[in-house]
Amino acid sequence: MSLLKVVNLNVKFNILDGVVNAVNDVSFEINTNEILGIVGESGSGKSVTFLSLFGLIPQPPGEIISGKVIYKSENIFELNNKKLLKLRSEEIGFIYQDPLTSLNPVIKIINQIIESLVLSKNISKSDAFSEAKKLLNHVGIVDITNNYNSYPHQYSGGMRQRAMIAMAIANNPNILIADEPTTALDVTIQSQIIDLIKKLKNEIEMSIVWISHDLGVIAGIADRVIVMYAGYIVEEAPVFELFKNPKHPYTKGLLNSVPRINSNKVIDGIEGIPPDGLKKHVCCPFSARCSSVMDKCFNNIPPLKIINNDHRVSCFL
Amino acid sequence: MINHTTKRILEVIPVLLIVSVIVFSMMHLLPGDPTLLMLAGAEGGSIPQERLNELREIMGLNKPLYEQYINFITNALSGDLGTSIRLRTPVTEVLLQKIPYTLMLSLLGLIFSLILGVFIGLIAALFKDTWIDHFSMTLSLIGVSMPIYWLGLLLILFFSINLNIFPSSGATGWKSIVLPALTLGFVSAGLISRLLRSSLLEVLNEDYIRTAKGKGLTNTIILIKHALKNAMIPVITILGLQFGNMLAGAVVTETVFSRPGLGRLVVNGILWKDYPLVQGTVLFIACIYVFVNLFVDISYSWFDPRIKLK
Amino acid sequence: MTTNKLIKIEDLKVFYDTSSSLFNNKKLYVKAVNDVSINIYEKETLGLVGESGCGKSTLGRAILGLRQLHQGSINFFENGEIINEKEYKKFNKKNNQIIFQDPFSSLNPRMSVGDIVKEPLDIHTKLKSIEKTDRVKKLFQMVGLDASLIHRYPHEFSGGQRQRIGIARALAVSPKFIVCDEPISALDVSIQAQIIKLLKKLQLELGLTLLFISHDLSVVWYIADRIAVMYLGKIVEVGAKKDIFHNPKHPYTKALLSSIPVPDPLEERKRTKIILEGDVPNPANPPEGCVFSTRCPNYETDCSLSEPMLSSINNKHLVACHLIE
Repeated sequence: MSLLKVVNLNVKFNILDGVVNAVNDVSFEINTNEILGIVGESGSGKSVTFLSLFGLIPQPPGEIISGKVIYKSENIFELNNKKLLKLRSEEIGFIYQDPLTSLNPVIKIINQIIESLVLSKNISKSDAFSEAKKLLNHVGIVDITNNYNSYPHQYSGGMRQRAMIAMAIANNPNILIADEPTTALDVTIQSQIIDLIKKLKNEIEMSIVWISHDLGVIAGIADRVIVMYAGYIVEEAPVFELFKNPKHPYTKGLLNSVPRINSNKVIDGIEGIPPDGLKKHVCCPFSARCSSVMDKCFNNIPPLKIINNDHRVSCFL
Repeated sequence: MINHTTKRILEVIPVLLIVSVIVFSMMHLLPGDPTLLMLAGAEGGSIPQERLNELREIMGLNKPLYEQYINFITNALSGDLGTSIRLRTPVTEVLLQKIPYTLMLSLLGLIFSLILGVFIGLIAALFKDTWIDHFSMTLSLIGVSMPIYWLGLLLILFFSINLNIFPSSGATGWKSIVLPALTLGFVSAGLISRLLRSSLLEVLNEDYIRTAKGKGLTNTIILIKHALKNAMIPVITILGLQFGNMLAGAVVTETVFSRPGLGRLVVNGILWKDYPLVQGTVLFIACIYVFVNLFVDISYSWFDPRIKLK
Repeated sequence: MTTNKLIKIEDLKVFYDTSSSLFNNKKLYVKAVNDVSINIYEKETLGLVGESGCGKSTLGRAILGLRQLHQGSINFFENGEIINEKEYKKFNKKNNQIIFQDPFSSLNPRMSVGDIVKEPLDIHTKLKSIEKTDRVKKLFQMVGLDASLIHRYPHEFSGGQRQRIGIARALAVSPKFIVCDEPISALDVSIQAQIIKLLKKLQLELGLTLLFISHDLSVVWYIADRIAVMYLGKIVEVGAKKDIFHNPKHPYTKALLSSIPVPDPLEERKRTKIILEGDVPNPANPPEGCVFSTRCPNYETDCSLSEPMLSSINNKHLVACHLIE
């Protein structure tokens, strides 16, 4: 069932060198109780898309040119400020890539969590404190050394990310946006965090948007996957289908860039360099690097074709 | 394991020792007979040799240098900074009399500079690239470039002579401290506003501000609770130095406004060639400066908890 | 890969001194590399893996003389003969090079890329200007860049291209040994593959010996011949690629391997991952006995009593674990 629907989102950035078309004509849905994986490399627009939905990109230099975001029958872009703040505090939770820079360094972690709690619940200071402590325990932080009076820099990377997760789920959000949540962590810590989030999802009914460039992580956790390139959605499919039957040359190229342990398969990579977004596309954004490129690809942007149930591709092939 | 605070306190000792050496050598490094200069300044005319010799004995100038220094230090530590030639009173007594005026002025100047500086820096950052920003930064540029005595005279001209709101001199009543404090604080305000502006702009671009927005906090709360505390860190760092500038600026300000205080005392002492007075006052001012900085350093860790670990 | 030793590292300790003030007599060391002994053989790619804080970067730099040794020795060999101390400096600069992790900060933004690659030639060779430029152009071609780009500046290139420039710079003086310190971690996945392939090709063509430092085991699988696994300053397991990946013995190696996400939904969800509890201990205060004892799923009390030594299981496959002896 559809929880949030994005229609024709276009976002650009006005920078010194020109205009960066970060998000181009992006439409998709987030369903209830699902984990939606977003795959892309640098310049794909994956982070900007989700930050812009909730007004978290600086405008200027960013600019939402057009688009609608329908949530609970309302267009989020048309909400007044009060409603938008309420949406952010009660319905959506965010986890970011670098917990060291994403947590305020001069405020105690527990206070940052309490801050989230008092926003939606009518709760006393002391109740909020014990509630926050319970949350931290629930995500695996037991702060005996400092009795929960710690600052972000006193925690390890894994603990900080757990703290950020606690903060994000404090108000039982309906949608959790996780922007590369394990990219900056060691691989054994990554396993811990993925495990934690899986456990939390089973407890709280929420949808998770998991943004990552790591295909292995996405393969392990997502229900559906959207692949983005140069601000466009190039392919979208349920996870098993995507990995078994990739249709877009970029998806195929990406899958072919990751070395598989215990396999002697040669990896190819994708020729060329990542997009910088400065050009306005009148052609397929991947045409410069595509090994199956045809003449047609240089003159038109391929529309999103439906292949079969739930599997969409934007390609002329 | 000695902790950070104790370490910092102990580090004050070598600093004060060096200051005392410099102050002590003042009298002995300058050419000419100090006693002659002192008495000529105090009494005028030609001085009989016996008086000079008498003074030499009293001041212990015939003893070896290191002994004089040890005496100087031991006396200073017990509160005896010698006797002023001109005023014929112990220096310590004179200092204690004048110090409230200067401290009051410097403190008020600092408070004023903080309030004005933070306000200007804040609006400049929030209204970046608008006329508010440009105007504020021009104002702070003027503040930083303007000589104190010039500003003081301008303020006197405008507020005292033309508008007759505030007195131009003296130390009676609260009105008399307004113009001097303004003068003193204006320069520092310029510096603080520029610093806060750039610091705040940097902080507002940080990830944790985006996190705060994502949590659904209002812009006001984000500014005050999340941004300002971080942005003020560099400002607090220079606050100690700024107080030192206040003390230095007090010299000129007190002279322009004819207010009593340590600054005016030093100026007069120099004019009178009154060595003990100058020595004692300079040593005293140096000590105040060192201890204020110490206090700022120690309280600094309250603002930035990451500092504590060192 | 040959059996000729190129580098012999014995009982190496590299510590960082973190004791702070004048008044503090007790020395506090971060034991970055804590008693490491290993050989590196000619023409092999030795993969050095581990997570943050394990000491792999420090080890790589210590080999190049970029870190002070607290204890132990690093010796180089040429044709079986050990290089003595007097000749070591000259040998080091000409034969050993490094490729850095961050392609954005490892190139001087004020120098043209041609000059960046030419600089080692200026310092270490007596070639004429034309000869140097020729060599720079050839190096560019070797790493897959157009020779006409030598007058451009680093900011005009993408991350992957800058990394190629870094490789060209490392190859300029025809070194025998290159330390690759996480050379692809900062690049996009599709570009990573390009660079790994390039390195593999160059290694074969030029007969290079590589120390490939990485936290990414899938990449190490692809490029390395032998692999050494580090944890908290110690080597806990070392062996040929197939031994490590098919037959890991140390509990940490097993946990590490099981944590690597595989881009295959079926396989990835089928696997039971070994999830280690807790965080890596503070390298300034490592645990008593076995460094892995605080997180090991097979922990027994003996593990905290003494440090296990690297002992061989079979031909060249060594493990440091009390329970495997």
